[in-house]
Amino acid sequence: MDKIKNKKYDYIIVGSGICGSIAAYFLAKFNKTVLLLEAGETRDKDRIEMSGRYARTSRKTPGSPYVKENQFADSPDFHENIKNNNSEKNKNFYVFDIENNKFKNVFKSTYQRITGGSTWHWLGNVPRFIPSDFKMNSIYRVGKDWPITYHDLETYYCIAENEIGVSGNHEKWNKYLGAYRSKSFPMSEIWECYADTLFIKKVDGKSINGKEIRILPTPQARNSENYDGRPACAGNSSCVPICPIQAKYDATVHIKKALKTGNVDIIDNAVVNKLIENENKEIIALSYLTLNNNKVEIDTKTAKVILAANSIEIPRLLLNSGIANSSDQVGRNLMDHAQGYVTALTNEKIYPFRGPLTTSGIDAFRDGEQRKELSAFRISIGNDGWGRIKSPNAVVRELIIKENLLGSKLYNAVEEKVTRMIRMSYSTEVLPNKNNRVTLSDIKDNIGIRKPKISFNISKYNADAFEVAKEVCTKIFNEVGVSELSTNDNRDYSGAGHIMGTTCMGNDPEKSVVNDYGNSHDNHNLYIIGPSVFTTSGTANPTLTAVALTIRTIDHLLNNKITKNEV
Amino acid sequence: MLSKKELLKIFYKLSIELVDIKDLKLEVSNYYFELLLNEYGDDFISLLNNNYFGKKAKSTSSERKLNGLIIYLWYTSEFITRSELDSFFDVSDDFNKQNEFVHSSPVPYYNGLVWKAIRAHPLGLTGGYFGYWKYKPEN
Amino acid sequence: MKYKHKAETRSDILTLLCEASEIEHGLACSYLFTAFSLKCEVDESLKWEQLHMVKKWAAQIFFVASEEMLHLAQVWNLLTAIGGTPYYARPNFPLNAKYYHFDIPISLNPFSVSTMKRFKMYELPRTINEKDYVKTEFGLSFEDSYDYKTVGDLYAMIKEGIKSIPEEKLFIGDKDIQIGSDVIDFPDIIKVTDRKTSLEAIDQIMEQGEGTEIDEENSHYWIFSQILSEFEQEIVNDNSFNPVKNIIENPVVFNKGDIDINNANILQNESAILISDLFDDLYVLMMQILQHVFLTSNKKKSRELGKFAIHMMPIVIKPLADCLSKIPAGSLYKNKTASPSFTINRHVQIPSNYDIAIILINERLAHLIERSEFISKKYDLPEEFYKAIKSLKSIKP
Repeated sequence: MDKIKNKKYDYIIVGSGICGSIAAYFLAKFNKTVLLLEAGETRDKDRIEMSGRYARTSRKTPGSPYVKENQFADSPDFHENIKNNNSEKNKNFYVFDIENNKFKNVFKSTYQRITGGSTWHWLGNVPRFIPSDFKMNSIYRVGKDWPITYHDLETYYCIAENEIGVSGNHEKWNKYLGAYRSKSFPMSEIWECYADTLFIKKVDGKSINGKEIRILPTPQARNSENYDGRPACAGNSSCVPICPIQAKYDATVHIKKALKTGNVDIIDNAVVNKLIENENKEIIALSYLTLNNNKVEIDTKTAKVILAANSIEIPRLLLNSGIANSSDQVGRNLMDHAQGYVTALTNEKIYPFRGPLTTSGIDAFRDGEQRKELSAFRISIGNDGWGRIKSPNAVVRELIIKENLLGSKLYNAVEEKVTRMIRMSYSTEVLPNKNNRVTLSDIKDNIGIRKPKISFNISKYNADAFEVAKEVCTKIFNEVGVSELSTNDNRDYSGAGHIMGTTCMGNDPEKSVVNDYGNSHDNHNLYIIGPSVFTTSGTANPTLTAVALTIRTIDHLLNNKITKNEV
Repeated sequence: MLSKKELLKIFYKLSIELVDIKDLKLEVSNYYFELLLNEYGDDFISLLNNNYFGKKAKSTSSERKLNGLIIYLWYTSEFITRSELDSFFDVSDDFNKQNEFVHSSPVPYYNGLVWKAIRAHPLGLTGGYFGYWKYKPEN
Repeated sequence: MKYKHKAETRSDILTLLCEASEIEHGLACSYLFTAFSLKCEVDESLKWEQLHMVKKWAAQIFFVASEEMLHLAQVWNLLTAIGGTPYYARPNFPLNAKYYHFDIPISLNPFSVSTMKRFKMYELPRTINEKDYVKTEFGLSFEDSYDYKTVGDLYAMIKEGIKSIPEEKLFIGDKDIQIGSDVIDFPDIIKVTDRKTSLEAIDQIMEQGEGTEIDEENSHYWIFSQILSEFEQEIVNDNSFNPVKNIIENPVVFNKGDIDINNANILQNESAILISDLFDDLYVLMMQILQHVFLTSNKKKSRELGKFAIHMMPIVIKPLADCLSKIPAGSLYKNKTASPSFTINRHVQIPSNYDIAIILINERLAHLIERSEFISKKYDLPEEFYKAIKSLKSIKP
């Protein structure tokens, strides 16, 4: 440890999630030395044990496999799984500012603190943003324009798809919604689930609300063949919270590759709590807490510091340090995708819970003139029954206690119902809003760091989109042939786990935190990577775009060695 | 007084009767027996005794509840403790609520009948091989 | 083509492609058999953690088998592109030792160290000498007298042959009958219409098998190597570890004289014989239908037939194999259970004319369903049998 502490590194990266580990890998590949600091623990050898933990527990939340006695760094995922968590002070990981909040849920998205980050339990959907997502203000007069365009990012999207290992259908996606693709996906698409084949038969090509419906295979960070030494997906059907065979990409892939170069050191259980700057606004040191709450300080004078700790922890760290915030934008513009659903029972049995949790989506509503008035949305077709709305267990319980069923009658009733359960979810774009923000609470977490206080509200822009999305889903379901249509109360929207914004990029140092390369406007040796730099949130799952932006930043730092190497 | 060996047998037989499936795993049955005995003690023993001595017709409401949760256990591997029993049978309860029970092994979960009934496989244990999900279930 | 070391004519290439078809098909069956042999439930010799590992191996072996099926389909496209017809015949298991140029013949064996070593041998990269591999792993040595030693060598010969014949002269097949991913569930299948696409198709086959320098960790050879080393490690960790069902190897329904009878195990138990025979006939029907699909120009109708045939694999063929593994093989084999023999019985090709083909297929199918009903009534069988037959009736050609 002392050896590492006294070693001079070219780069110090805070956070070993997908962006931090891919950044570390590319820097190290091109001979830079990197220290990677991770708040959570390294557990990649525990994959099967963690899969078993998921099977053993009744509480099957995204964090359930990762629960461990004596967890050091707390996280929203871990928090909801620990017992005796009833005191008002400790009830939530987040402290909510719920004044004036008319919605019930406030902010529900969570994350995991572990080496490899939340990719351990991500779904793995990786559609790209579309060109108009980057120009919301100039095209639709809402939100903001990014300082970069789709074209600036396209090459990096290709590199990102190759690094992560994305399965997709090039022909179907190339130029769709204006998004050209200069390269094929590295793997052909993940096969659609049985339910999708019904949707394709009944709905594909039809026009609904003026749009041609295409049932498209969702690009996924999931192997459709052996790739990068990892196996093809075998349909364990537990992508969230854990893939037992690592057919789904997670960031431990790049941590391994980074360590293999010999240029990277990693310290886990290291919660960075403070950055220190000098009068020239250089980050000259950072401090982190380790097990037993020891405080370690690291000299960063000759290094560049890269924050890759997610859209809650980055502003938390910056605010706690009083750094990089001359714009007063740190923590502001917190975004997520506000989601709702429509559920039904299909007339034909569709046998869910077999294969990846979703394999197809409907992307037709991700763009169009309506974005002036209401949010665009992406629809995904679930392969997990009614998802969180009603589990198969809940169906069993209902049949036992309401219908008093047992024996073969119960068995048949469970089959009859669950094999027809279908859900479509829609994700709407939350626009940047300065009042949706992360600040610091006076309440401290288990290791004495001020908790993140969240103010979050969604607007009419989303609420109106919910109505249209529900109407569209209902029409699609009617084409498919269903009964028992049901939907959520708009106030009861859910989070997508897509935590974005809070250190937004822009050209104007007075209105943004970082420039288009993630370089802090205030501190020249400080960089930020990950979805916290997003200017707007689009409707695509954010990870691929975050990785493409990360690779663009690192390529810039390496004088374009990555792109030159690609050619 | 029936011996433990006899009680284990009765529990296995009762389980088969309640779910109407013959090939229940004995290892899982014995494990569930211990859990139930530990949590429900005399009530559980009396349920097995009554069952053995053919007094099913007179079953009390608490016995019916125990039967219900035994069925639920075999289907889902979710174990309902005594303190949760009333809310489990409350029709106005949140059906998606999950308790905090953690088994010592994943085997009960892997043998949950619900997966068989819905013609899937336990989530987290592969359904076979790449692409099977495109087709109707094999089972 | 043992008298020649070079493909120079269309006929030479057609011969080599038929040989490639046989090998791909034979390997697919051999891999399937081994995948079927792995346990799928926890028992006294398989802990839950080990079950995860074993299921991953099975999924990986099934995946390699499916890529062999893709290769077979790809070879069929190559055959029809140069004026041939799809070829599904192959020698029955267990093969006579010298049928192919492999020193160790393709056979049907449960999962084991030696089975995995054999699988590695079939997929050996050309950078490894086969003689040395066989000597090190099996302690055997053979004289070198053949034109190719690995599947990679065979495809390299085909490639050279294709390059040596003028393109316009070689590719005379009907371009419309080429099969793409719209008809068959192989997203990577390439339609072959000229030299370029034919070479792409062969390169893809070679890459998936032995791998290329940059992609070798995803090759079949590497996959089998990984499984083998995990298996060997686990045996060291736990000496009670046994992931394999107690099934017989190289099962045979009847001795028809065309096989290596010394290594065959003839089924004795009557229900096992009937089910195994039914399995073979359903499997051959599936192959016949697929062959028809690759031959016909009526793509719209054949697409439905293709779907039907492919659907048979997961919902009829696999459950019947699982069913066999639960039925005793016969008194000669003590506690061992049966397994599928993948025997190809004599039968004609289904013609390319759809209207005639559908009559043949429906008649054959009706007859096989009738036989399955007879078996259902006569014996008390594992539930997999009834489910497979119910599934068969639920899909229509």
